[in-house]
Amino acid sequence: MEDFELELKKDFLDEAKGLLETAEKSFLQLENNPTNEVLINEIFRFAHNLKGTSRAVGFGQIAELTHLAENLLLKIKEKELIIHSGIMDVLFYFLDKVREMILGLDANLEAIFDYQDCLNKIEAALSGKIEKTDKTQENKPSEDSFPEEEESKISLVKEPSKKVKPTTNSGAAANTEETIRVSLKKIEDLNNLVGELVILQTEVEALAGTSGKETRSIRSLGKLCKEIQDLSMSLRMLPIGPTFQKLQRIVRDTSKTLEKKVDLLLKGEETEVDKTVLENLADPLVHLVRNAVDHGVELPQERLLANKSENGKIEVLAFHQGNFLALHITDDGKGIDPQVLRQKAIHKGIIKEEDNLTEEAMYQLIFAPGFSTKDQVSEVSGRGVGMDVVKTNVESMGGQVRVQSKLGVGSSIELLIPLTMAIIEGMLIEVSGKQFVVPQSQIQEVIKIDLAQAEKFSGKNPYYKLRDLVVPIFSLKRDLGLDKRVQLPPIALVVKKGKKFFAVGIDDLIKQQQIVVRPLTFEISHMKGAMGTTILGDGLPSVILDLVELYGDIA
Amino acid sequence: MENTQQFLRFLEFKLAEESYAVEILKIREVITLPALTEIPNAPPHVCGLMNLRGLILTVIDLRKKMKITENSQKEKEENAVIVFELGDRQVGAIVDSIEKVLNVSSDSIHPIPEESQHKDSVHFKGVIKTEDRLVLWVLPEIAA
Repeated sequence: MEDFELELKKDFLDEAKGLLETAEKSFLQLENNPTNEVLINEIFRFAHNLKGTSRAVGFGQIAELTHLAENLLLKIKEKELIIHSGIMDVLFYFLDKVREMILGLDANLEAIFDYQDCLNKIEAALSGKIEKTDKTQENKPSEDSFPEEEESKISLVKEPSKKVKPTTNSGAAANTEETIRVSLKKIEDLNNLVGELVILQTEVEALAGTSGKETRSIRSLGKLCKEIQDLSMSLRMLPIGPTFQKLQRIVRDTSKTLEKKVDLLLKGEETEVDKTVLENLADPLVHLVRNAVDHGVELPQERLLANKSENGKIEVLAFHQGNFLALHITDDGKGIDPQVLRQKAIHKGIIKEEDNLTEEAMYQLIFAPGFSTKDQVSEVSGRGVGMDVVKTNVESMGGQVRVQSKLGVGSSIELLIPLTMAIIEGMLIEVSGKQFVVPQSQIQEVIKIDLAQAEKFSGKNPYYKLRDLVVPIFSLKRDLGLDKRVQLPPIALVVKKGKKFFAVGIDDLIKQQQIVVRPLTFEISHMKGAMGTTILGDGLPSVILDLVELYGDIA
Repeated sequence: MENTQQFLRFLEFKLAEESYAVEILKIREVITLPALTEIPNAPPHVCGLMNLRGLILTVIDLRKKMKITENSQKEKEENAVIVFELGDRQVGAIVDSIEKVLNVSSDSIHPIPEESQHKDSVHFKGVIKTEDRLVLWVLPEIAA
């Protein structure tokens, strides 16, 4: 294949991926406003555009499929065909097929697809052989089916007329700001270089001392470096909107399968978050929202009996909280009964009968591996995988998960995740003449060791009296294999894991500073208690320790 | 090796008086031994981490890695680090000295004699015969 042809194809696929996302949004809106001509036109243009460009770059399969879909959309546009749930399903099926093809071609430009069934479905729709699929609707489809249609649908975003329209418009308006596409590699390289620049700047600042004419210039340089760093870091930040968009589809499909009615409310779509964080967040979000539909929201008849609106409500809210991204997934469903969780966990052997758990701890049981409260394994969820993955994913990003619930009123799952994983606040410490970094977030407090408060039980690690607590105290020196002698350190960091506290003895605290986190090198990637590396102000690499991992199991 | 003569370029280096060579294409660069940060609880052949213009790399002692003990008491005069390309990562290997670049025609490369093969020989590609000596051709994976 010629280079320019290859480039054309790749460009097309990149662009098509963007088009698909926009199209999905329009499809979902159309489902709630089946007569909205603006939306129909938009979708028609999407299909038309896709057909033309895919044929031009030589993707005949996509062109053939899209061509037929275009015919269907034309019929809808010309009002020869009325949209109903069956037709919407065909349209979604078509969209999924096109997505499958585009992703497939992205992986392999020569890929061949089987899309005959999709063609058949569209043909059937064209000839009016597709019927409504709404199971909640008892009466047979009638000619004039709009009013009921509107009701029987799950409606995503209940105030669509207010909310949806501005989004489409503002989307177009925002695009007038000029943008260019840049490869992520370039941005990462830039970030690394800027990281170096900042380190070098601190070196120079240290060399220059605190007086003299140079100092002022160096300070200004420092400020400038900081600004450049902030800017280059912000290049990796993306709005959470597109990730949210996928949830609409999840809610639509899940609630349809379960015959539930759910309104999804998305708030804070413009909230920005680091690209890597965003990627790691997508799966947990899908799990949580799917779970809220499956386990949270009740069936329509149950809701009516409980004096609730027929449609359940799930709200997904994103906002910045300091250096963290907060995500709240709230439903107004049946809530979680902590005692039921407890019994289930005892039954499954996750906890013991005599274990005394706080309410929060009982809620946390839903994240235990192999825990699922649904007695029946459903198509949607209930295999007990997923929720534990959510927690692991979030914690691996340095985040936390909290659960709040009120029986009969609903549940809320709250995630708190660092905005970026690339820079952390770190404490520079010294052990046996060597410098290490400990994330500030792991340090509860720093204590000066008072020999009178230390006690040693025979054959065990010493313990230390910390006010009204007695905590084990470890020697980092000994455990890093730097010094075999057992002696009490002068200073200790107090670290918390779950509800347990422990103290880690070190030689000295150097200072607190921002740390650019680099991955561990391959050779030390399995080192216990190490979470990354960094370059310090003197240009030397240093290991970032994870004290929770190092001591969490034995503390 | 085919009959058509091909030339390969190697970098020759020494470990405990022995001559070794690595294909130049597999080398990112050669530097003098920089300051290293020791890694706690690391295996004995891992010397530490270095900062190669912002890239953090592990540095290993190639003598220890290859279990060359003989003559190892001899003073290491001029420690150099060869930065090997290993797929998508790099690793620094300390060698005793860098000798020179060899231009070798394919017909002066000979297979390793079977009787001298052992488990590490998978990383030995062949023996390069020069005018006055034999040089062992090693793959960069020897440092992995």
